[in-house]
Amino acid sequence: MWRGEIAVPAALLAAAVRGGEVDPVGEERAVAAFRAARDEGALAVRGTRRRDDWRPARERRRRRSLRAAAMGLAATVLLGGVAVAAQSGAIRSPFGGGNGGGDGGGAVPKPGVSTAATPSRAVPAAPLAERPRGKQHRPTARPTHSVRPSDTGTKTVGRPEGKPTPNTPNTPKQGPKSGGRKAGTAGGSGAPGAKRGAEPGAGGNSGTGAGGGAATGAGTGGHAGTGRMTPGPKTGNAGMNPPHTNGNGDGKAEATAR
Amino acid sequence: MGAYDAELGAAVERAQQGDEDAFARAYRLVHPGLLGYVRGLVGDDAEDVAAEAWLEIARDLGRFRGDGAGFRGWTATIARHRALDHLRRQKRSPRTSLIEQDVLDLPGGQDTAAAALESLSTEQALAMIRGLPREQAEAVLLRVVVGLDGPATARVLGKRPGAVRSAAHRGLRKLAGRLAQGGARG
Repeated sequence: MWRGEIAVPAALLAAAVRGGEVDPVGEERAVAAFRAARDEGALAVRGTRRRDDWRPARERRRRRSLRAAAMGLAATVLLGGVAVAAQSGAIRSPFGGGNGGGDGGGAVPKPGVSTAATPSRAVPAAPLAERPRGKQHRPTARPTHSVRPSDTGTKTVGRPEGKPTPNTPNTPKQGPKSGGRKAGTAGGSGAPGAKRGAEPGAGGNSGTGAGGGAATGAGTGGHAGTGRMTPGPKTGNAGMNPPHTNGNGDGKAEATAR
Repeated sequence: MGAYDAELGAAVERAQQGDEDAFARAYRLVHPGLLGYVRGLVGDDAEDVAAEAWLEIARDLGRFRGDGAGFRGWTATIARHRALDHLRRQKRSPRTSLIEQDVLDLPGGQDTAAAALESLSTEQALAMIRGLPREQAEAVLLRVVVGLDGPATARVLGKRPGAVRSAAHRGLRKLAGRLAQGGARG
């Protein structure tokens, strides 16, 4: 364990300090305390507080989770950087022009989304303009939305409509949000509903999804939002949410997009 | 240390079921290292502080979960709290025990590490450790005297493993230097 110049003092200390101390008085006192505690029923108190838990598996998890949290943060920051770059135009949005993403609500959320961090923001500009913001859920197909995203079929990719709620009432989503969103997100938080349009949403999700996905292994919420996209009324899709924003990150995105 | 951890783990488990002989066995395996650690922190009052720690260990034994190595970490944490409380009550810093210079004088004529090792007493070893900065002293004590691994030491101290590793190495290097000086002294 100890090498080089410090091996000697280490061994020395270990030997000197631990050297066979016999302590019968101390031992008897401790055993008496043990007996008293046992007889009072203290041993039966099994509530293990965090500080009492020194199990090897937990220790391993604790150490791993510290590393994982660091990696998750790094992944989020990295993806956030990509999203920002895409927004600013430094890199091309994988979703193509605004039309693709924006209209159709969701047309087909690009499956690739999950990987791309691009914020959907790029997408939507045009379509959004057309669509009234506000309470509509699905821009094209349906007027009032109570349809679940899955209905729209835009969502496509997958996500089983696990969450209808986001789409409903409180979120003024445009286009098929939830569906789209989900699609892209691998492991994303199911909530994407907030995002608008499939693409953007998807993009958004994907960003987060990816972040989330990447981070999940790490055991952290990973993405910026913390894993939960609030359904809130977000129209624009923030795309990748910067780590510090809450799931939606829309605020910022919206502003720009619109 | 590691060699006895399996036996310690078994003893702790039996003790948790009420077996007092098992508890005595655990005490014998853990106490020397624990006392050494506490002595490094508080000096002369170490026996009293360690006894207080054992009261708390006996009382909370039912809550502990872990193996032999984990028990060492858990008991070291309890001992550390008692030691720091003691120091606060006494309004003393952990390193106030003055290092008497003659304690550090190793027997003359020793020019080999082995000889130094044989003649270094517990008091001298601990006095040398107490001469280190607090963080280094604790890291060295927990690693070498109590026998905890790096991560467990970091957990007891509430510090990052990297910082603890550096502190232990720095402390041991300093001690190595002092040993060399002592040995050279005629």
